[in-house]
Order: sequence, then C-alpha cells, then structure tokens
Amino acid sequence: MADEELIESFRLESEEHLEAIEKELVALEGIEDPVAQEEELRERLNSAFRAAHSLKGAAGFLGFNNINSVTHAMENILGELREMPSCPGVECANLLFDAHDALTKLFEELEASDRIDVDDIISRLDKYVSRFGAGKPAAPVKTSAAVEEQSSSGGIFRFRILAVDKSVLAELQVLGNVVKFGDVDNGNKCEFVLETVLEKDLLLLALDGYEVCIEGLNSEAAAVPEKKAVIARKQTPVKKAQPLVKKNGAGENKIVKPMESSVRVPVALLGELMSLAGELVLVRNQHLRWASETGDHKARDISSRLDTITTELQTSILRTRMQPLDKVLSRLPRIVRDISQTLGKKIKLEIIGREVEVDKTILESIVDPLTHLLRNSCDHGVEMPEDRIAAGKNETGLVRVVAQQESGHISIAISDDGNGIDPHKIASIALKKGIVSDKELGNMSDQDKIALIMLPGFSTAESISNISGRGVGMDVVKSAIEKLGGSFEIKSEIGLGTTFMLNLPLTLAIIQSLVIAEGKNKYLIPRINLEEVINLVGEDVVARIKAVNGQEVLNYHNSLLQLVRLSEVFAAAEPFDSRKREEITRKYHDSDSAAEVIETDREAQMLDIAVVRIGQKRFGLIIDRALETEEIVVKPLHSAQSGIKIFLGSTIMGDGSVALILDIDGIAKHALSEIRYIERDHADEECLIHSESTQKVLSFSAGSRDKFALALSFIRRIYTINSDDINELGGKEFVMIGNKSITLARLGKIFGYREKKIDGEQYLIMPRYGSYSCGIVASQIHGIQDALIDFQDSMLKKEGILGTSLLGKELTIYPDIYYVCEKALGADTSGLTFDKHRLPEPKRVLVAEDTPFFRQLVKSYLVSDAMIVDTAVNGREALEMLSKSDYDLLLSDIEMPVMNGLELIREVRNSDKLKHMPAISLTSLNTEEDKKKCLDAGYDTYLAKLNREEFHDSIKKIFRLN
Amino acid sequence: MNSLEIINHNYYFFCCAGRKWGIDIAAIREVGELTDSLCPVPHAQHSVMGYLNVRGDIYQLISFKSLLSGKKEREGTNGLVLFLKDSVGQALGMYVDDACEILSVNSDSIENWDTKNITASDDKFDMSEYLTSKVYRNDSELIPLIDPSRIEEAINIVWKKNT
Repeated sequence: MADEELIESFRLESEEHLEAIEKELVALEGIEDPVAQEEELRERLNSAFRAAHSLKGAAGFLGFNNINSVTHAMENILGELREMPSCPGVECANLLFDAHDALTKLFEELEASDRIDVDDIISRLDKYVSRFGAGKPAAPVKTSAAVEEQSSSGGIFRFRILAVDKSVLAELQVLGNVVKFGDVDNGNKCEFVLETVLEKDLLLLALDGYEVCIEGLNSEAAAVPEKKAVIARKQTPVKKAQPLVKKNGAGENKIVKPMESSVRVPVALLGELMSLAGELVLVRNQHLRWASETGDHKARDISSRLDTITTELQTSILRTRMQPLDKVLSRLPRIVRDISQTLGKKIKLEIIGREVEVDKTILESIVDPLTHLLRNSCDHGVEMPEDRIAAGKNETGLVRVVAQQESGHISIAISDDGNGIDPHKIASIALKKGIVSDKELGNMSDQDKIALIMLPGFSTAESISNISGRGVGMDVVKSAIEKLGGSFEIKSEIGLGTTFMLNLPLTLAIIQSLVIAEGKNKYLIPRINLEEVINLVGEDVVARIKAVNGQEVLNYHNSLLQLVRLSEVFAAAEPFDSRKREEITRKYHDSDSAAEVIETDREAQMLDIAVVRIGQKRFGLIIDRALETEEIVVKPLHSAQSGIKIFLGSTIMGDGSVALILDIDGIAKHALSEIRYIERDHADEECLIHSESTQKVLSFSAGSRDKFALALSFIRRIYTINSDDINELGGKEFVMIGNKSITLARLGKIFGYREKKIDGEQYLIMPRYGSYSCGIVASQIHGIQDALIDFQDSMLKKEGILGTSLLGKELTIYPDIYYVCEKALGADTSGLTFDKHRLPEPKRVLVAEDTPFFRQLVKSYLVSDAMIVDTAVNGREALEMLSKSDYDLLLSDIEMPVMNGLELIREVRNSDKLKHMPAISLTSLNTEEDKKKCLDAGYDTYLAKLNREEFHDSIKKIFRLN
Repeated sequence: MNSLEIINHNYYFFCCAGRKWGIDIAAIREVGELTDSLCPVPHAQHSVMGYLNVRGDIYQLISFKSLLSGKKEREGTNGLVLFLKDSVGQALGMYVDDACEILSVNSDSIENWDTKNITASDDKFDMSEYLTSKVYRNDSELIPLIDPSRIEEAINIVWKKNT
C-alpha cells in the first residue's frame, strides 16, 4: 500500500476534481447555444476532461484500480465530446453524473474501493462511447512503477528536477521514466528529466526527504501548479510565486527554493492550533484581570501587548479554519438539476454569497440541513409548470440561496417563489395529530402555525417522497442548526413562496458571552442568544411581573414576555410540566408566599432579566445579576454530564474559576411548553404601567466590537483628535485643545475590556454638564439615532453603566459619562457611596424628571446608595405619587411637561401632608436668577446638573449622614 | 511462591465512608485540598460535586462517599481531592474524607476480587464491590483496592438507578 500521506493528499485532491467535474457538467447542461458559446463549451469540456484525467492518473499510480477504470471510461466520453465539441445530451449527462456519483462512493470507501462492484457503470460508459465510433479508447493507466507511455496530450507530465544528491535517481525511476539526466553546476548538482503521470503536488510528496527543485516542462505539467495557485489564492492571500531557476549576474543557473503558494495542513493540526489559541485567550483574560487589579503600569503595558498579539493570533488562526460557503453551495445546482428532472419541474437556482467564509466545522455541519431545505423548496415549494402558468407565474420556478455575513454571524436564506405554506392546513394537521389543542391554536398567529412544522414527527406530505425526505426533516434541521448555536425560522406567504432563514455563528470555538451571577456562582449566556438585560428595582419587581394563566410574564414593549427563573430551572432536574409552572408562579405571586420569598430573599428587591432569543422567539430569564461581557473558549461538558440539556459547555474564566455556559434553547425546552408571545389583550392591564420613550442618542465604538451610546443631551461637543497628538503622563493620556489640557477617558480601561488602540484620527466626546476637563475616546462615530428604551428596565448594577438596549440590531451599552470622566481623572469616588449600615432604614426617594437618561442616571446613583427610588415623568405624576405614598425626599427637574418643577414644589408646600418634605431641584438652568426662583418656590436645595460630588453631599445633608 | 517473584506496588490508602480504601498510586496525578472555586453543576448526578480548574484543565470532582451510597451526602471541608491521571478517563477528581498512608505492598498480600458477575441491574448490586478490583490483606484487616477506570461508569450506574 502506498504511503498514507500520499493517499490522504490524493483523497483531498480528488474532492477538488470531483467538484470540478460536477460543476462543469451542470454548467454544460446550461449551455443553450453551443455554436455561439463554443469557447465556453470547449473550456468546460477541457476542464472536466482534465479533472477526470488527473484522477485516473493518480488512482493508477496509487493502485486504486476501480477508480482508475471508472475515470478512464468517463474520460473517453469527455474526450469524444471535446473532439467535436458538443454538449452532452440528457442521456449522456445522466450517465456522466452517475459515473461521478459512483466515483464519490468509491472515494468514500477508498481503502475498500477495489472491492466495490463497478462493472455496471463501466459497461454503460463503454457502451455509450462506442456510439461515437471513434476507434479504440485509450487504455487505463497501469499501476505503480509500470507506467505506460502516453501521448503528451494524454496526461504525461514532464518535469525537470534538480537535485543535490544523485541517489534520487532510484526513486525517480519508480515514479516514472527518467528520460535524461546529467551533472550541472560543475558537478555539484544533478539534473533529471522525468515523465510521469503524477502531478507536481504528488511528485513533491513522493520525493519528500530529498532536496530537489521541480519545474514543469510540457504544457500540462506547467499548467498544474498554476491551477493550484489559483485555488490557493482564493483561500489565502499569498506572495507571488518565485521562478524555480533564475540566472545570477554571471548568467549562471542558481537553484532557488520553490515558493509554495500554499501548503496542505492536516485539519487536526489546525484544530490543535485553535485549541492552543483558545488556551492563550484564557491566559490573556487572566493576565488582563491581574494587571488591572495590580494597577502596575508596566504590567498593564505588557498585558495590553499580550492582548493585542493574542487577538491577532486568534484572528489569524480562525482564518485558517475559515472556508468559503461555495464548498457547500457548489453542490446545490446538481441537486436542483436532479430534482427538476425527476419531478418534471422547471427550476432556476440563483446563488449569492458563495464567497462568505465560515468555520470548517460549521460548514461541514450545514451540508445536510441545506440540502434538505433546498430539496424541500424544490419538491414542496415550486409548483409544476402547468400550475405555475395557471397561477399567472413564469413556468420556471426560482429558488434563491442568499448567504451574507453580518456582525459576528452569517445568515443563509433559501427562498422559493412557489405556493407557500398554508397555516390553516398546518393547524388542521397539528390538531388532528393532537400536537396542539383548539385553545392553543386560537392564540397562535399564522407564523406560529407555520412554525408547527418544526415539531418532531410533523408531516404534511400526503405521500412519502424521496426528494425531500419523509416529511420528518424540519425538526432535524432545526435541532442541527440550534446545536451549532444558530437559529432556524420559516416565513411563508400563500401563493408567493417560502423562505427558510438560517442564522449561524462564524465559529464555535471562541464566543462572546455575558457573565451572570446566580446564587454564589457565575454562568454565561452566549451573546448570539442575548437581546438585552433589563433591571427591575423595588416595587417594580412585584408590579411589573405578573401571573397570566399560570405563567409569569413581563410587560415588554408591545407584548408580554414569558419569564423563566434560572434558580428554579437549576433546582428541578425534570422538565417543567404545567403543574410545576403553576407551582412556581404561585410561589412568587400568592400574596403570602410571595411576601415570604421577598422577606427571606433580599435580592428579590432587585433583579435582572436577560431577554434571550432563539431565532425570533424571545423569553426572559430571571437571573440574580448581569455582570460583564467576556470572550470565552467553549469546552465540552464531561461525558457523564452530556445528557444535561441546559448547558452548552464549560469554560475557564479570567479569574481562573470554572463557569458553565447556558444552553438557551435547552432552558426553553426545560421550562416552557413553547415560546410564544402573549398579547396584551389577554393580560392584566395593570401591568402596563410604564410607557416607553424615544431619545436621540449618539452611537459609537471605542476600540472594541462593543457598541456604546450616549444621550445627545449629555454631550457638549465632539472633537476630532489624532493619535500623534496624544501625550502620556503618569499613566494618563492627554491632548491639548486650544490651550487646555483634556484627559482622555478610555472605556476599555475603565470597564476592564480589551480596547484596541487606534492610530490616526479618532474622536473625543465631551460631557455637557459638570466642569470635567475630560472626554471619552471613540474610535468610530456611527451616527445619531432615535433609541426606544424602556428606562424602567435599564440595568443598574454594573457600576458606571446606565443600561443596555437594542439599537438597530445590536446590543448597545449606555455608559454613565460622569462616572467615566471621574474615573479617568482619578477622582476618589469611594466617598460617593454611603455606608449602607449607617442608614437606620432604607430611604424612599421620588425623582421627577422627564429626560429618560437623567432619570436613569439619578436613579442609579440613589439605588447604589441603597435607597428605594420611584420615578415620575412630570410634576403631575409626581404629585399623585406623593399623595399616595410616603417619601423621604423629592428630587425634581424644573423644566418638565404637563406640570413643571416650580409648580410641583408650590403644590407640595401648600399641602399639609407634604409641606415639610425635603426637596431638591436638579436642573440645567444655572443662572443666579434660576437658583433664586427654585429656592423661592420652595426647594430646600438647588443643584446644577450634574456634579456627582455635590449631589451626594446634598443627599448626605438632607439625611444628616455626615 | 518464590520470593524472587514478589513485586512491590505502591498504593495510596485513604479513608472514606468510615473505612479504609486503596488506589494504585500510578493512577493519581496529584492530591490537593478542596478550594472554594468549585463550580457546581445543576442537574448533574448526586455524586458530582462540580468542576474545578486544575492548571488549565477542567476536572470533574466526584464525592466518593456519595458514589458509594448512591445518594447525596453532606461533605465536610477537611477532605482531600485525589486528582486522577488522564489515562484513567476524562479529567476526574475524587473527594475523600482523609488520607491515611502510602504503602509499598508486595503482591503476595494482594488478592484479586472477582467482580465479573456483578451487574448494575442486580438487586444486590453493591457499589463498593463493583469498584473493588483487588483486596489488600494485612495483619488486621482487608482493604479494598479500587479500580479507577470503573469510576466513570459507576457515576452513570448510580444515575440510572436514581432516575
């Protein structure tokens, strides 16, 4: 048996050759006018012939006789077609496709290929070639050393080989005919001319261990390396190939090492590199954390360099595993061609996005789902030509496959212009099969009904078809895609067509995630599943989470979001049934037991909800705390825990601890009967207590993939600065603007994430309020957008972050600009939080403020001081709240709609109940006259927006905490 | 037996569930204490205490006491973790009550323990018997020597029995 490495190389090359044959055959069938398109015809026939010929030669050399015989018979037909030239007719094309399929099977079982019966296909090919009456076809290549002479056009490659050691002659004689040899370079080297059936790659492998230079002499030998170079260029940019032998100044031949444009690397080695890069990422994370904690500048510098290098190394290694989707997409035309023929349909296939690259593992995993969906579109989607004409459509159906890369993931849409999916038909079958009840159907939208076909065992097929499986495949497609961390959706309109949407991550190995705390432990939510994190404080916990039909829900934009408590999921190993769901709901919503839970669990006063998604479906996951984002390396669970469906895997965190990665789909399956929206009409209207507001925000990046935003009302101006103008002193960065020195605030440094330093032009965002000589550095400004944010839901607990929300399609972080500036200036903020133990009891504060960001900012300061905070959006609302509940302090803006802050305080001072209540005005009106107006109207203190220190001092004075 | 044929083996003896056990020292990577960075795994088998990072490798830590009893046992914090070598299976640590000694034991004091007929479905199935491959006989007692390669399977046996 030939060398294993040689066989592996043959196997890899054969994939390319088989792909080329299939691609050319499909294209040849598509040639409508062979006369007008003669050049293309010749080119494609030549290409298919060359591929078959190369397979034949290599198979013969390596002793795979069946492959050699089939390719030989195939080559005969292609040779005859090339001579004419002529397109293959349907019968001929079918035969060649059958031969191609037979070869594919032989390669699948390469070692046993000679035991597979190929007589039938060879006899059919031979019988067909005899019709051409072109005399005796060329004989198959003999195996091993017994290489038979062929004409130069028959695939004998001629190479010049320069070697330092003559002993290579013996090896060359085994590989082919050595037709000439002699000394060159004053006898220091030996030159051979070899005729062989081996291509250059195989020859190089066969001569591994010898120091040789190889140059192709005839056109075929010279053409092969060129073809390889083209393939290599598609995958990775490479340097231009150098000439094999070049003349030096004296005109003397000098051997130079051939510059290989690409090398074949075993996938296992790439996997190992990827794994090591993953380990390096973990070490990098640990080092970053350590450097940040030590505060040592040198350690931070080293950490920063380590960070940059690790990121670049990781990106490069990831790229080695990336392959173009074309490797999968190029198989689709053949499938469509076969189905069209079998069903008598006319189908045109359009493919867009062949060049999109994806990780090899993902690429291999989507072959079956994609094939299944395409078959489904052709079989069930596109109608018969006569039906299409009757429906006023073109008789040829169109199936489009569109792939595109979006941020961090790829989407593939397979759409047809067929008859679409009838949701009522789906609903009726689902009802008949007992999959859903009448009542459940009543609550379902058409999209929900269509999604029923993704349930296991669901089938609408009236007869079993071998084209798109047995109608049981959609659940398999869904689970295969979800297993990869992706999502699968179906959109359909009756009479117009169906679109299957796949969303996939670019890579599986290293993912972005949100670190959360649950109990004493940390867990991770993959970012691909995360929509946003919302936070409820104090009474909101009770007020905004409601029980509807035995299920906890949250008012979320225009619908009610089903909620799952992570702590309850962890506590019960068995999937929840309706009784369990009701039991959990009672636990948190029965007045007695809920009070007990709140009493015993102080955290119930403040909780975070991660809004997670699987495709377009969302649900809320109640967690203890959302902490930060982190790039993690996914490691599988131990085999003994592989049956646990609520975790995807585990990882080592920056602090060295182990954390588990949540499987959002697994959690949904564990805790919910199905994910669905509950319309507002079905819910208790009482829970719709807060309105959403839009606000103009500036979105920007700060040297990382994270997107940030600031309310425009917080920004004084934006400067353009250049990296060359930045000076560093005592660990801080400065730029001179006018004659003023401005300190640079880098979000990465402040929030402890990787921030890539940008050379050249960048931006400095200056805060509007306060007297900070400091600005936030932005690497890119994305623009001004209207952000729809429910500020009741903003996340509070990450210090310096006001919250997160979805801006466009991206999760956006809203930093507290004042916190950031204070940190960058090195201000000591430790005194800005009260010692909670010194508060005899929690203070209740009412904040009246119409600007959502300020409302949130002030609330976050107060909540971090352990105060209970309610908010009102105008004076009228504030007055109503004051009359209903007891508060220890009123904090109010002056300029507000409906009732302004001055009118509010006058009403307060006129009320017997409220007249002694402490009240602070907080406003951007900052003239002496404004101040006087506020104090005259009845406020105890006047504060200009927004000096944090002054703010805290005033609060301390009010509550006598000094 | 000819004295020349006597071969000495090193065994690590530990205490757990009120008795002494032995394990071939060649199967142990290292012995350490339980740290607070243990990551519990919800829904895992009773005997699985959690995951631990040991110099970049994620170890599954099991409670030997729970494995023997087949139910969740209250663990103290003064025990020891025997981290087993990769050759035993996936990265695995075993939490035991206490260490006793390392002894060089000669082969004539070790007897094979026949466990061929023990099946998990047997009503009389006994985990300590299942895990024991040999016994060491000294002057005063018989000490079971466990076969570490059976631990992973033992976790699953307990799991299946409980579910």
